[in-house]
Amino acid sequence: MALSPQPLTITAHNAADRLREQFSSDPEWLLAHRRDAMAAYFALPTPNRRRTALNAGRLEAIECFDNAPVPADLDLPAPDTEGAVLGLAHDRVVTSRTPSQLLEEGVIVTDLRSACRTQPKLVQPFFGSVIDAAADKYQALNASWWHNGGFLYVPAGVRVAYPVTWLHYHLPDQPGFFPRSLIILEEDSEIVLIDHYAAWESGYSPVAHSLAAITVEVKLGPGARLHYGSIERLSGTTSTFVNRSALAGAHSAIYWNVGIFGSELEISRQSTRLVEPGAENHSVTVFFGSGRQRHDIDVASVHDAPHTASTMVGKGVMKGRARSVFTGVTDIRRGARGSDARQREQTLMLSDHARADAIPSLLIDESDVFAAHSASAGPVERAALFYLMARGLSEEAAVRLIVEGFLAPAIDTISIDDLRQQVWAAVERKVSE
Amino acid sequence: MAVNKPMVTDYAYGFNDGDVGVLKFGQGLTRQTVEDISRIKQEPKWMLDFRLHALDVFLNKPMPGWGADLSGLDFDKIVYYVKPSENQGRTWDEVPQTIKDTFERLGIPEAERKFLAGVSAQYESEVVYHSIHQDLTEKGIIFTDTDSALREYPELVREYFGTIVPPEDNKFAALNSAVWSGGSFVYIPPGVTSPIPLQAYFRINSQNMGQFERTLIIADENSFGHYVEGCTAPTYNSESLHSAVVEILVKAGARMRYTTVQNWASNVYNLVTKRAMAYRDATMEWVDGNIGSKRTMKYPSVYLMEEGARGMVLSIAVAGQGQHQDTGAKMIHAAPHTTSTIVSKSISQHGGKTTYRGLVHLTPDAEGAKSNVKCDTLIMDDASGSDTVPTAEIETAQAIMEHEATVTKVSAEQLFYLTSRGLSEEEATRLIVMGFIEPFTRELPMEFAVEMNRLIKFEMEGAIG
Repeated sequence: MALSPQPLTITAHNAADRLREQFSSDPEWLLAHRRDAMAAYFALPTPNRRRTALNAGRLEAIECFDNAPVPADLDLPAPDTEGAVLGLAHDRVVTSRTPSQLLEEGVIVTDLRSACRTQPKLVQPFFGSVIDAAADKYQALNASWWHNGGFLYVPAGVRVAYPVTWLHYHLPDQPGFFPRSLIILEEDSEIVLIDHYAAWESGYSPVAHSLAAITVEVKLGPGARLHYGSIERLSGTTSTFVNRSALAGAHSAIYWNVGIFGSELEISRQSTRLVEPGAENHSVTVFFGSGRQRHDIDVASVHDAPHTASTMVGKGVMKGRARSVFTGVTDIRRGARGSDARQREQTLMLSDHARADAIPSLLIDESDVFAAHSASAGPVERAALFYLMARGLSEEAAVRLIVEGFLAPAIDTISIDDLRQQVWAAVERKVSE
Repeated sequence: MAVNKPMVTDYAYGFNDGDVGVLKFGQGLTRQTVEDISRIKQEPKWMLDFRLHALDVFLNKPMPGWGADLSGLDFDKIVYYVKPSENQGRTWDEVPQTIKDTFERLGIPEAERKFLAGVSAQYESEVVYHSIHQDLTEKGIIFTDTDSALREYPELVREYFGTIVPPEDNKFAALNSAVWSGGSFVYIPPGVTSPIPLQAYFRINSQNMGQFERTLIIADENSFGHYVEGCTAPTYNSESLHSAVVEILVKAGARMRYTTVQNWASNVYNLVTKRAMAYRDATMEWVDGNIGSKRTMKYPSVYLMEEGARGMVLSIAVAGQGQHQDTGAKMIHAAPHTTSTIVSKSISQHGGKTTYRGLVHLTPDAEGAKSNVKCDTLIMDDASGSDTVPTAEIETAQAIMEHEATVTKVSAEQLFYLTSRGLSEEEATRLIVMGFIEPFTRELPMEFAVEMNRLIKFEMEGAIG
């Protein structure tokens, strides 16, 4: 008779052994990094979010170290794209396809665990250098127990026409989901990366409550350009902590397009540090809360060099009893002369029971700059609703049209066709919920 | 004995009169201090109980974990009560000469001669001179200091005192509630319009002096009033604390405006709680200028309690060397069809820092509410900085909130345009700054607008090159 397995317990004392067991294929330097992060995880308190109460007891009750092995026969759908595809279900690589043209150019698209073994010279100097593993408890959790993720390397001067697509699937019967990715663009390179996080529902009975900690580190060399798109559609029983950070070199540019739709609770942080002259950050975040979802989103541009530029757009739609906090931070450090920074945040309120907080802050330590922000919130305009309904549309169809009209200026700036359509599809699903 | 001489600075009001206090407490705050203050003032028991409760709240509350750096503030080095003369002067002739000289330099008698309303000047803790214009008395308007009001209008004071800003609100409101002294009490009866602004002038004289005035204003239904306050303090080497509480009740249909021009010396911690409650169709307006002080934390707020209430905050902050002006505004929309407007203008120069910190809260009851916020900042030089941290909390789909902010320097194009017409760079810069704050100055009473322009000109000197 088979006994049900004991829950896997990890303590500060057995952490080193447990890490070595669990991640036996990792090189020593990586295991050392995991051990340090695990110590930080035990030492750090539950993060204190000013506007989103985190229930430490409930989060810590999740047996997030206790994932079952991922079945070998998973048949995950591969996207219809001519570019590179990497599909992952937790630690298992389920799809991997890289067009020969990319390989010939020297572009590397692989899973990060493999890259740590096979490309240590590329990976080791940057791994963990953009985001401090001890930044907070859940960052430390990811840094110690991340199971796999993507690694993208684009050599100097390579500009790639084919998009790279990463799919990170959470199997909902697994209590822990810890993807981690690293993206390195060398001088004057350019690429499109689509980085999706989704629950793969078919055939699994979800655990009552799961925990996700997601890390994405980006390093841009001089003149490099990264178009990064991501849609998060994790399950409504998942509490999610996301940390994305980019370090942008001289005259490089990063274009973030992030859609946040899923999770029961999501604390998402995105930070771009413009550390050399002329670097640019352009960020669009679309979030859509429904039911009792909680989305607490920070987006930051740190201007630490002259003539750096940033635009940050946040567009939210709130339904049901959802709550959101959107904090935009423009941080212009002394010496960042001639910098230009603009923020815009807009929220469309579809329900009287929803709540949206906006904190668009400007922290300016330099005089020779231009910085501005605007924020607004409001309901569906009655006149517009009346106008549409007078032309025979149902109220539901009219509201849908107004929501689309509200989000279009943000979503239609997404230059990647596939991604734009996927974001619209995610919006459609939320509107119909 | 070594005496700290006033520092030599360019602070025009940095003279001091020597120590004029007749009764002065030692440094530090204990239960005894609070009991003594209450006993000297011969207060009713409920006020003593209120003070002692507030003292407990103060001692148990931590310092705020946000805002300006208050680490230089030592509560044990503050003198909590000074009574400058035995009796409150009823006429100008009875006021002691040294104090009179101070007011002379502040221009208060001039203002009096200009036939302004009652002038109530707080010189340290007791209001020493106070007159009220005959017209006001005839209309039934009460304008007196809060200590006298507690004796003469005990029921009115007891009904409202501490109801708008309870001691539990924040650490400095609790401190004020424990040791308050002086401040103005204003009552405007229903339907009465105050024909002239009510003016009070506050001033700190002693070194390490804490000033804790407490102002309570009640604008009864359909009344109108305008209260004007200005503050100056001499310059010493050590820190002073000004921690006032202002409570305003604007009843249905009434309109109240409260204007402050604050020009504390650069060693004053200015930590003030100002709050108004506006009822049906009432209007509350804060016009708030912050030029001096070492640290200011002040966020005038309006609770819009009933349908149709309106709130406005119009403020400027100027921060120079060693100064941090952490100011802003709060609008709480707690009823339908309420509206609010916030306009904030900040200038940082000579290494100073300004922070706009604001809140707009549209509660679930704020159907049809509208809020508009606009913050603009000018940074004059590379050593200075500015933060803008507005918060919007939206809990209804039936209201509209709009917020805009900009941070810029004086533009090269504007300077070029003006200097090409023969102005020096300094004159041109000043002109641009004056234009930048014009939405504020145009709302001030004329004498204040003149003083404001003089102060700005003064602050701007040496801003170039």
